Amino acid sequence: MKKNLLLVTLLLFPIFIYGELFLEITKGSEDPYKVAMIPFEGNTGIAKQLNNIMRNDLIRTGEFSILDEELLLPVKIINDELVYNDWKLLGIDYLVTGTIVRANNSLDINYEIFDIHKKRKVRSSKVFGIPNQIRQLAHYTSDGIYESITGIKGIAATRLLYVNETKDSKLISTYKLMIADSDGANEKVLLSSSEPIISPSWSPDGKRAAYVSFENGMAQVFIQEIATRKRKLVLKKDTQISSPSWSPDGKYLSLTLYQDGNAEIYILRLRDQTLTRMTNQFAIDTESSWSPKGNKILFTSGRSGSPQIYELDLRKLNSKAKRISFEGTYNAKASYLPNEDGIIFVHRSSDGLFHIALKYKKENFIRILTEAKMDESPSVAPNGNMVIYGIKEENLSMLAGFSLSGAKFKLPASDGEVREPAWSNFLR
Amino acid sequence: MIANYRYLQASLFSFCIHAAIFMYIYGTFDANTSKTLLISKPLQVELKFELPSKDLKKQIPILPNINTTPSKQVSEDIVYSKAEDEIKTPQNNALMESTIANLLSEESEIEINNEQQEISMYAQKIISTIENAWMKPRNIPEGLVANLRLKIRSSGRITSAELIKSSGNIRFDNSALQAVRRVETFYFFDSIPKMLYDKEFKVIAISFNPS
Amino acid sequence: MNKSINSFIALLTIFIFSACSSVQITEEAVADQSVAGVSIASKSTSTQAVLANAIVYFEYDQYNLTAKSIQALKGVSDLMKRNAKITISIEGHADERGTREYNLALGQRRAESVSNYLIANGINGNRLITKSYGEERPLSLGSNNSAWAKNRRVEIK
Repeated sequence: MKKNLLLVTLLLFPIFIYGELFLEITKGSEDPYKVAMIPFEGNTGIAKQLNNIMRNDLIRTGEFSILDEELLLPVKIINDELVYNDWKLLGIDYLVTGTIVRANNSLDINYEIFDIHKKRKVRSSKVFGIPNQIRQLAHYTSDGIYESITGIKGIAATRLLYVNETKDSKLISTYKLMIADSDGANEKVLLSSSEPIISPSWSPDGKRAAYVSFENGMAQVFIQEIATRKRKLVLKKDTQISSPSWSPDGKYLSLTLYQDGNAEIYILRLRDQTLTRMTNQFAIDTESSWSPKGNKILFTSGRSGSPQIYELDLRKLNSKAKRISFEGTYNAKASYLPNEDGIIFVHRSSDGLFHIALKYKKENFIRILTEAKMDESPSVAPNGNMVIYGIKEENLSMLAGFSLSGAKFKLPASDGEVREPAWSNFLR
Repeated sequence: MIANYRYLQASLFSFCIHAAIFMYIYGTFDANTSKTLLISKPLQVELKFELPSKDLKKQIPILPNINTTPSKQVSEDIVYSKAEDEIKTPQNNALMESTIANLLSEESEIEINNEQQEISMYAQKIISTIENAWMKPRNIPEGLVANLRLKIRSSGRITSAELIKSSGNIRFDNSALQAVRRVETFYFFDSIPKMLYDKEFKVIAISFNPS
Repeated sequence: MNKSINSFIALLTIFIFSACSSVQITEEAVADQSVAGVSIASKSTSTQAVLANAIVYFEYDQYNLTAKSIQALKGVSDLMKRNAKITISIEGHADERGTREYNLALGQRRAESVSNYLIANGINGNRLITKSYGEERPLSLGSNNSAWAKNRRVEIK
């Protein structure tokens, strides 16, 4: 018994840092801003890495077409004014320059953005950081540049949770809960287990993760602190619990409990473990997801005979769940867009294939956004402009993503398969 | 005495008939239709802006002065109209002015008719130039409308493009502004007669409405 | 200690053949669930054989028992009546299509169908543990109808 316990403990102990998910951009958006980025100057050791990260961040958004470095002109400044015409001839919309300032305890980036059409500087900004946070600093800078030009908040400085599965020579699986930067870099293992892990979910402050682990012989929900790796069962019960979703204030977790032998949705107040039951009917109710304003939840219910999306208003007593998906025989795993004007979910089309779909609240039709066969687990970026999800290509599961403007990217695993991505909120 | 009275009657009668003929020729009896012109109103306008009344709380960086104004749905993609704040005279005065002007000169009517056609022609060119440069973003909800105010030099160069009504969707707003940036200059502007340019095309408003 | 290791190795062999999960965890689970009666780990070989054969299959999106599955369950029902101390774990599964959480619930439904059948046949519910692995433990890897059909199942242990 002790020996077995030790084995189990070792398996659960998070191991070393991994490598990187390789991010592959397969398509840009159709109407990109043409941006020229002059490599930021200063501290050459760090500069190259910073410049690469920033450049890749912006390309990844799909909204920018970044001029090739060889085509960059020397920046001509005459009497303190940037000479714009040369850039105009290249068809550039914006020029970005900057400097990296390294001091003893600080690493700061100054950047400036010039609007070539308007012929003036439109942004001058500084990002403060510390020397061992190069990647983060670069991401914050790219987000600043992205937001200055598009008006949309950038997601380069956000993170992803996902599950990695590898098989040994005897085809025995090891499951790992992973965390990485939104570009797949900086992968770390939060949990390694011989039992499946599913449904990772970020706390709104980005400090904790909730997920389902089968390590105790059945589905149970754990909460783990990312910084300390400390974890605990969210609720000690002899029944199966799954499908965790955090309320936007971080105080509640909606869950699926199987205590009646049937999947039903409950809300757990974390502070005192009070459970409130939200659904009570014969069919399956699961996959709950909170609205960004915290007053509604979406969930999947089989009560109409097949999985469909329902919405429950939490402010009303005895509120009745309202069905909101009507097209097709399988609609599940819905989540709100950040401004709540629509939902993203998994839809099975009439040919039996599963796709990621979008439905705007004010419209009564759905838009299919992906084209593979078994797309699943969509998670919306906090700026509402990108979605990451799971695909299966040649029998290998990997992550893929797209922007609403049509850019596409893929994130295959460096080893084994990856799935079940969850996109964090904006992080500070 | 009787002979004088008769003569007087005849002259009066004659005068009346001549007056009638005279007034007929100068259109006093005609109904008030196309002859009463609105001198300073934009013409083929489907969309009329009221002056922006309040500012949006949210400010998009780089793009100043985002205002919400109520507006009607338009069936065309892009509609041209002259910006309201250039119009100084209220409708009634214009009517009065034009009626008097008409009585004095019939030829100016024909000129104004031609002018309408000219304005319409250039407005159409503006619209198609921008339409060709506009890439409607994907996956946006239906029913979005964004309005821009453009300031244009006589050379056709667009010196400023302001979002005066946000569609509520940043990507859609951006696409409208990008279209205008791409156009940059309406090259046909140098064929617009100076007076017409001054009156109608210095500041214009454009509505982007894909539905 | 030795006996424990021996039974561990024996079970590990059996479970690898049926491509099931590591047994250590199951043993822990038994301890956690404080089940009365004979623990799952120590069933006789013949018992295990009967149970291993009683795999119940399901149609796509369905969780109701077919005539064929009822046949398979008869053996289990009889076994449990003969052996009043045996408790069993009924594990539901689903094929990979669709969302993971919904499949977890579907697997549970399938397990419940089997459990309900046994209860209706006079088996005490206390002797039955139901749980689901959703699509997480496929028997057959592959994305085709045949693989999927094999994965839509309930296993009894």
